[in-house]
Order: sequence, then C-alpha cells, then structure tokens
Amino acid sequence: MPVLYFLFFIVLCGKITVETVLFGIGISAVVSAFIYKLKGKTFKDELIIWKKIWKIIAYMFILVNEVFLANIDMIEVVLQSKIEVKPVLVFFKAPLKTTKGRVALANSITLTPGTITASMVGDYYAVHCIDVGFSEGLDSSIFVEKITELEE
Amino acid sequence: MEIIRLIIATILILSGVFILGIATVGLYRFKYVLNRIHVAAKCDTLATLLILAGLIVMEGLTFTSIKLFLLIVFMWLTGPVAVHLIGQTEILTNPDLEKECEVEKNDMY
Repeated sequence: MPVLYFLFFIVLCGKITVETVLFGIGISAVVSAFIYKLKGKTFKDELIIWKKIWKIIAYMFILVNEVFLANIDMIEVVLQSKIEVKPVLVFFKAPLKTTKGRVALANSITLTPGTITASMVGDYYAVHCIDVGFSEGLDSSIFVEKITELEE
Repeated sequence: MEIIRLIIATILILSGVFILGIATVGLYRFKYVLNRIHVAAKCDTLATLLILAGLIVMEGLTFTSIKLFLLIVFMWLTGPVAVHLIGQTEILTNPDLEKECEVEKNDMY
C-alpha cells in the first residue's frame, strides 16, 4: 500500500524530481501509517492481496468483457421500441464469505447493464433487472465463481 | 504511425459518444425511475471507458494518460455505489412498487 500511495503521489505531481520523490516518500509513509492504525492491519496482511494481483487483473478483464456484452444487449432493448420490457426485482443468496467479496459482487452486478444491486443484507442480495431475461442465472454467474476463487 | 493512432482514437471516442447518445434515447423511452437508471447510469460505464481510452491512445504513454486511466478506475469504483443508493432509496420509499415491477417473494422487506 505505501508503494501504491507513492506512485499515486508521483502521478499527481506529474514529474519526477528529488523534491517530489522525497515528499512522496514522507507523505506516503505518514498516510499508510495512519491507515494501518485506523484499520488495525499490518504490512503482512497486504502481502496476501499482492500475491493474488494477477487473478485480480484477470477478473478486471472478465468484468470489462461482461460489461461489453451486456451493453450490446441493453442497446438492443433501448433501440427496439416494440419490445415491452418486464422489470423484475429478484432476491438471491450468494455463497460468499468475506465482506470484500460481497461488495465486489454487488459492484460487479451493478456495473453490468440491465441489473442493479438495490440492496444487500449479509449474503442476501436484492437485484433489479430491467427485463426478465437479465435475471436468469444471477446466483451462479461467472462473477460468483471467480470471486469465490479469489477468496480462498 | 501517427495517422493509425489518430484513427484508433477516433473510432474509440466516436463509439463512446454513440453509446452516450443511445443512453439519452433510453432516458426518454422508459417512464419509471428504476428503468431509467439502467440506461442513464449504465451506458455511462462503457461510454466513459471508451472515450477515455480514446484519449489515452491519442496521448501516448505520459503522466496525463496515467491520470486518465485513474479516472476510469475511480469512475468504475464510485459509479455503482451512487446507482445503488438511488435504487435502494426508491425501493424503500415507494409504497406502490409492485405496480411498476414484478417483486419476487422474499423475506427482506
């Protein structure tokens, strides 16, 4: 995390000089010390995330791909005025254990067009779908599969 | 080389604008807030990605393009949260929800 803060600072500065590097190291150290104290975590806890970084990047690509495909469906729904949409509010349980995984799933569902996570209590999701077709297989989607893999 | 880059950037930006245009059409096609949210907020995720990707291609690998990439990341992280809050408010406060959309049997509300 300190490394990430440092890179973020450098990017925002827009140039690499002795000043920005020194200030960046100082500021990122202070900020990360504050965050560690706030969340009660150590540097070792974060190494677990860094080990999964390739899986996370792969997940991002899957997400972008899904957003693309769902957007094309959505454009079809919008442009064909003959189709009468049947909005539906569905509820389902996802077999995820960590809060991070649950939030990631909720955000992924909201990012894919046609479905919005309206509410989430524990592992119980309320999802609004613009058409019945979008609601099929929500609880066994590719996102659930991949996030369960990431949680391990 | 420069011309190829320009063509790719133009295609990306134009397709982004096209999707935003469709989102606007969709806003007028649907009448209920939860249906409108779908097109208003969702097509944006792909449209911003395409437009900013086009700008990144045009810019090349500089600090500006990294900042544009960060814009995509933050848009994708924060967009769903805003949509989720609007949707939740509508569902919790609308007593005639079942007139507008089919509600499955549940033990949540």
